[in-house]
Amino acid sequence: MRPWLLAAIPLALGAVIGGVLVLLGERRMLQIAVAIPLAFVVIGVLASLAIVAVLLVRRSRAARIRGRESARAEAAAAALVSERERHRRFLARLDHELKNPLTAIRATAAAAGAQDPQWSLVDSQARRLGDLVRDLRKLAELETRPLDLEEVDLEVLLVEAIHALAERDPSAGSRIRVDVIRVPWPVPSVSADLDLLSLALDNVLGNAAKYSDEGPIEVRLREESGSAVIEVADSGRGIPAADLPHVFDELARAANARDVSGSGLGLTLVQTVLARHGGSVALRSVEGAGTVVAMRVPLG
Amino acid sequence: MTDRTRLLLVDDDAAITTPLASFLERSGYAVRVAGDGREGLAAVREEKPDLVVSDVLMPHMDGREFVRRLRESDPWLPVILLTQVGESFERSAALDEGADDYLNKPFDPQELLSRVRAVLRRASRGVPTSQRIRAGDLVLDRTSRRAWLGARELTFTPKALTLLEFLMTHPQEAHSRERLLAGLWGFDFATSSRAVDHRIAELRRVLGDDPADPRFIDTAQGLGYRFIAPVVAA
Repeated sequence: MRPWLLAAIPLALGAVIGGVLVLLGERRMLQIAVAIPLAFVVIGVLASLAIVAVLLVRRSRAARIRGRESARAEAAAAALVSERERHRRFLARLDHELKNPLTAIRATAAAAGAQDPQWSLVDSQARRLGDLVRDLRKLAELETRPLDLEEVDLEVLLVEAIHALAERDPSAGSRIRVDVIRVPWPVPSVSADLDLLSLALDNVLGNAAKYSDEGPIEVRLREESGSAVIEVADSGRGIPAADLPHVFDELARAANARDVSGSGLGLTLVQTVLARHGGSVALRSVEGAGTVVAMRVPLG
Repeated sequence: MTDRTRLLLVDDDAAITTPLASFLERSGYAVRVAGDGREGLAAVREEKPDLVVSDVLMPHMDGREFVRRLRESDPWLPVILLTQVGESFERSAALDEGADDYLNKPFDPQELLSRVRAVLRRASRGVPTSQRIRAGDLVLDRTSRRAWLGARELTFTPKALTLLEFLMTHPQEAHSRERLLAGLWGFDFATSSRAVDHRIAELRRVLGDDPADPRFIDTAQGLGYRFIAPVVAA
């Protein structure tokens, strides 16, 4: 029953009792008979008003609480956006401010002569620093840059990416097994930014090759719950459990990966690219056993 | 007077110009340094160089204004801009405003050297800068961004068309995938060079160009791509 109907009950009850008493009363008792029913009517009206007042207070309190909660959620979302924007601007400034000093260092190294091993070390480290800051900035820009969408056949993309990896690293290429689910129908094409998606796929495949010296690398493509799913699984060194919560953080590198070169930006890039496509990436890993990365891109 | 090729280096940061000038001198060029666009214009008036290398962000008169003023009096003097902003549109804007090439800071001085040589070669060959250019029966209208092969109009994705325009305006030069990416895509992550391969494949498919026996786009082994057909004004 609606709470507002509660307020009408005392009023109706008072009116009914008052009416009955008037109809049944004796004439000489008229004054009393009118006064008593009136009293019931008045009491009914007052009780109804009291119920209405209580309901109004409760409703306005609930609205205030809802308003506060939604304001808090909006403020949190706005704070996150503004924090990312500040982060992006900081990286752009850092990148910009490092350009001239790094150019000066590389020019000085070149003027000193490329044959000098010490200057060549200075030059290669300056280049590395420049690349790192540039990639950090570009990663932050990826969060807002417009996507260049086109229809992408994921199977073709997968085959190309594996072919490219096999060219760079024939031994890794020979360990790759591909399993594409085509029955009862092939995985439909997705609307995606081809360059970004292939960048993400290259990174995941590259990681599987980098962190597993031997053993198979399995690549699977299937459709699942309205998404295309690409899984890349390796039987490599895996990621220590303590590092798993941070694998997608910028510059994060697992404790057992120090001997392999890398920037710690690859998985952050993969996550950003998938998120921009409305998809997601999940990683499961057991140290010493291997890693499986699942990328989901929504269909249609 | 020297008979060496004369370069004018315009940048306000002496920490860059001093070693860079010394490096370019050692590489066989006669180098003069100017601290900003105004000094650069005065230096050109005083003694015309064969090529100008200029920074973009400078006090008094920045690189873009400098190139615009330079073009008023000397439309053909080759200019390489050293761009500061990482965005690709900034770099193509550098080309639109009359620079012959650009290099993003921080750059490898060896790369600057090869650009200097390439731009000087291009200038001596007289590669057309007109808006409508032709290579065999392939015609590209740079203003309307349309292309034809014989009588048939071709359809490209915007990126493929930008790549074709760049290759046709820089013919007979090998361009690394990284350079094409940095210049035309605006994202030059170290691992993303396949993006260029995708667009080259599209260009070849639409142009009917056989990679094994190319008429237009040749694969420069281990380096990148080269537009091999002679390009003339259409």
